Amino acid sequence: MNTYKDFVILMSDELGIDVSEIEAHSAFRELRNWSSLNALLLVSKIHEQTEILLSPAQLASVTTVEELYKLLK
Amino acid sequence: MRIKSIQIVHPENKIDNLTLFKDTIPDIDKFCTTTGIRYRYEAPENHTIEDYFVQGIKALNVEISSIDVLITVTQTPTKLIPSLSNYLNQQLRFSEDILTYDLTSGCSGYTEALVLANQLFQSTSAERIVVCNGDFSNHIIDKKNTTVKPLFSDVAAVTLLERSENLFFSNQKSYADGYSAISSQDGKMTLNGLDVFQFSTLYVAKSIQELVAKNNVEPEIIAFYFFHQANQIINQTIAKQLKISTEKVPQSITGYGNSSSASIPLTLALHASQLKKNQKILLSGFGVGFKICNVVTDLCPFDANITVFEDKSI
Repeated sequence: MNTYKDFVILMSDELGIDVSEIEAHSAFRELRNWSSLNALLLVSKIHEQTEILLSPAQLASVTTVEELYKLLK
Repeated sequence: MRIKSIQIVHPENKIDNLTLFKDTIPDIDKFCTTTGIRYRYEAPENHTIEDYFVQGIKALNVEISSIDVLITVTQTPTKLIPSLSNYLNQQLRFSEDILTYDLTSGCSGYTEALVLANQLFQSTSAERIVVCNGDFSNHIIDKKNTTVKPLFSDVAAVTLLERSENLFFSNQKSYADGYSAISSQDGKMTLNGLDVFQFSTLYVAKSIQELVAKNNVEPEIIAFYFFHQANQIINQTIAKQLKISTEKVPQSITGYGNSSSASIPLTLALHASQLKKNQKILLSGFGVGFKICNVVTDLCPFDANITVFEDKSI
């Protein structure tokens, strides 16, 4: 997962929604199908692909999709 | 010390998460596939973990008077005074010389009890130690809490340990920052899945690597890794971190969900027929606290039975 586009594809796969529903300024918790299970699966997939383990505190500190992506940079 | 027998007692009431939550949890299919938790057992309100332990101890098929030490581990005793082991004594009439301990612990409670038992074999003349593990977690979960409600089974595990010269080493970790990951408030359990994932992913594999390295054991010679069964996502992550195939990680989560401190003996009992004499196994209990306790031991064949609780009140 090297680019923002890859990140959006990962999110769309995990949430089971179309890429077009995910915009940089979208509040990720407001996205369709966002749930505690999907949050866990997303964190798990990010960890698997990047070895970055997002903490619950880090997740709580951001609001938009773009901010979430920046935590990985 | 060796495991001589494991007796599992569970309620009759088997629940299929897919059916129970089809109208209330939108992604229940995905939940079952990813967490692995499909079937669970819920004990009726009038059942107690104590009576399940009584049935399990009777099923061990040993002279009650020959039990030297009793260790009980639960977070859901029916009452606090007198503590649970006294109820078991009242029901079963142990020797008056019995030494008893009542521990409060969850996910790491099985391995913690094994560590205590191993110490007691060394420091006393005990020949037989019985360990009782399990929680009636569903009795302390709010039925409307759809995050926690699909996770747990109410299962009791009774393990008979006997004095023997076996391999046994262990380590443990305790992380203060994980205090709130699994908690109870006003008598009801709360659980933050992301916190549990975070702590498990950060620390469990590392603690296991530390244990095997310190005792000069090649990880390859460990035949099976029996992990606490909280969530398949967590156990798959730990297996990847340890670079072990999932075939070496037996599970009970699909048929039973998270059975708290009974999860490791339950998984051992389910796979007893596949285990061979002298195989080395690793047991890792981790969770509420946040605590980890790992044990490496070798095996002798042991008896294992899984039975439904016989409700004599009906």
